[in-house]
Amino acid sequence: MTTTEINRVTGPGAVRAKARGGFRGMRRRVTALALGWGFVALLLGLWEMAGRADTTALLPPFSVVATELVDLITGDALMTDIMPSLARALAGFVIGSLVGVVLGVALGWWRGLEPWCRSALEFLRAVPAPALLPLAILAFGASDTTRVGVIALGAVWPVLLNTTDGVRRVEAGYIDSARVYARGGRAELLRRVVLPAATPQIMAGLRVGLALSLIMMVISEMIASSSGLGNLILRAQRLYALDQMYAGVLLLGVLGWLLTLLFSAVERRALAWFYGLKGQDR
Amino acid sequence: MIGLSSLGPKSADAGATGQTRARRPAGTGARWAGAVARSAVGLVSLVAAYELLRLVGVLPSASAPGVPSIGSALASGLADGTLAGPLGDTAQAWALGLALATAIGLPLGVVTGLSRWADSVTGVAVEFLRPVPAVALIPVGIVVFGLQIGLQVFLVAFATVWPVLIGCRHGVRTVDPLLIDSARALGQSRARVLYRVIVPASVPAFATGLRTAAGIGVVVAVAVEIVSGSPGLGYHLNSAQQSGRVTDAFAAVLLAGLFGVAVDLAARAAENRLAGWQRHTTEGRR
Repeated sequence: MTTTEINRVTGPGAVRAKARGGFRGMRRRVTALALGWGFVALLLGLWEMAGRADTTALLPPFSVVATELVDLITGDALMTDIMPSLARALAGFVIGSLVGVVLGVALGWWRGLEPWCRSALEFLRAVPAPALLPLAILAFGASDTTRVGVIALGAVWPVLLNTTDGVRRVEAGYIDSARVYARGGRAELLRRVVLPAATPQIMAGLRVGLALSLIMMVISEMIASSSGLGNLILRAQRLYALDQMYAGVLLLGVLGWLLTLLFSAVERRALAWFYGLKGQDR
Repeated sequence: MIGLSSLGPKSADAGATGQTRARRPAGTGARWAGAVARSAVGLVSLVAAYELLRLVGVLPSASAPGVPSIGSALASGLADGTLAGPLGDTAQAWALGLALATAIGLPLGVVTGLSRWADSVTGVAVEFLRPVPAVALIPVGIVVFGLQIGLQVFLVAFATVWPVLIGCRHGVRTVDPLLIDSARALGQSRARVLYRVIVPASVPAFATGLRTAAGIGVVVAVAVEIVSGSPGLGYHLNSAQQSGRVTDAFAAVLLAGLFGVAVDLAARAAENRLAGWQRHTTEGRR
């Protein structure tokens, strides 16, 4: 579906150029990266200058924030806030993804189920996950389990819906060929043909799920919490410790970026055959 | 390709639904009624499942009111304006944020789609900023904007600009070169090719991006209200929960869900309207 299409272009330009291969592709890639990082450096430079010129103390210069960030990573916060945050986000993401893939495959495979479930699923998906957080805390208490559960609840819908779509849209020819030429029952067919063919779209759903997990992680730590990065930046804002607040936000940005990079690397591996098959180098 | 796969000789169970999925223009009354009935059964089972969870105690009944009382709280809240007002605030912040995101993302997407150079320059910055969870910027927004609507609009726009930008960039970049070359060969100026060929051809990708953005926008708008206390459904439900008006909180969540459904339906309708023609082209929709 369309998410996959969007997804395909979001991979770093580097892959594109690399696939073209050769010296020119390499040079082009280096130039693109240099331009990109140059622009980032320019933006950071502007931030630094604006911060130094700022007399309201609302915007500390980049150098101050970066120093604070280093303090944050090397200090206590690493074990008390950063690691627990990451653990909750990953746990929620993994649980939500597993549930989403399993239910999505079931709904995509037994097509007769879909008309019965569609409306209920569309409604559940449309409920903004952050809105469930106060209710979940009320019902189950402000524990780590509640938080992980709500993170999983945020991640499950895009995974579920994309998986359903992906499984349902597997080309009929693949399934027919497998039925004709291969032995093995339905489970084999599912494992060897349907799941691989649906992988691109499942990956697209997982990518959205990852982004939502991070959002839910931050939100879940901003409400009724005493630890985590979300709590740290909100606390810093309330105490007017703006250096620390900006450092925390920057750290969240870096973490989101790193996780997405990691995800892209996994995705490229998992989908290498797909890009090759479609003759696309991005 | 929907059209082709539904023609394929599938297994019996697949064949039946394959036909319904082929978007038959003549939606006969009976078929339509059947679909509505099935949807209704699904929704009723959802309600039943919720009540069952309350009954067996998975959901503590003290903190999870029954569906009838939630329904009446929703109805009275809408009637006397205690829910309608916050809904309006949320909708306004959502719409303004999405508009701002489009105003920024659309031109940026077109430019980066057209020019490899522009794409290289902004590429790293976009790849870094896009995964930043928008809600992480709530404290920054509070410091900069205070608890005004500007806070919500800024954060919704930050979260939704990326799908719009990337949709546009993708759309512009994947316009069939044959179309562009043909138009150029027929003597059209570059500006005219952009206006008459590239922009119309990339509308479907833009519409898809916009639909993704619309959904994300609702999530972020509500999240910002919950955390910051800026006016809207999120703030309403959080304060209701904290003051022990649990039924009101549930009614607000239900309303937020209905708003999400409405946004999704509207976005689909808009996408169909803007991009429905693409289904009839050789490329088709996947």
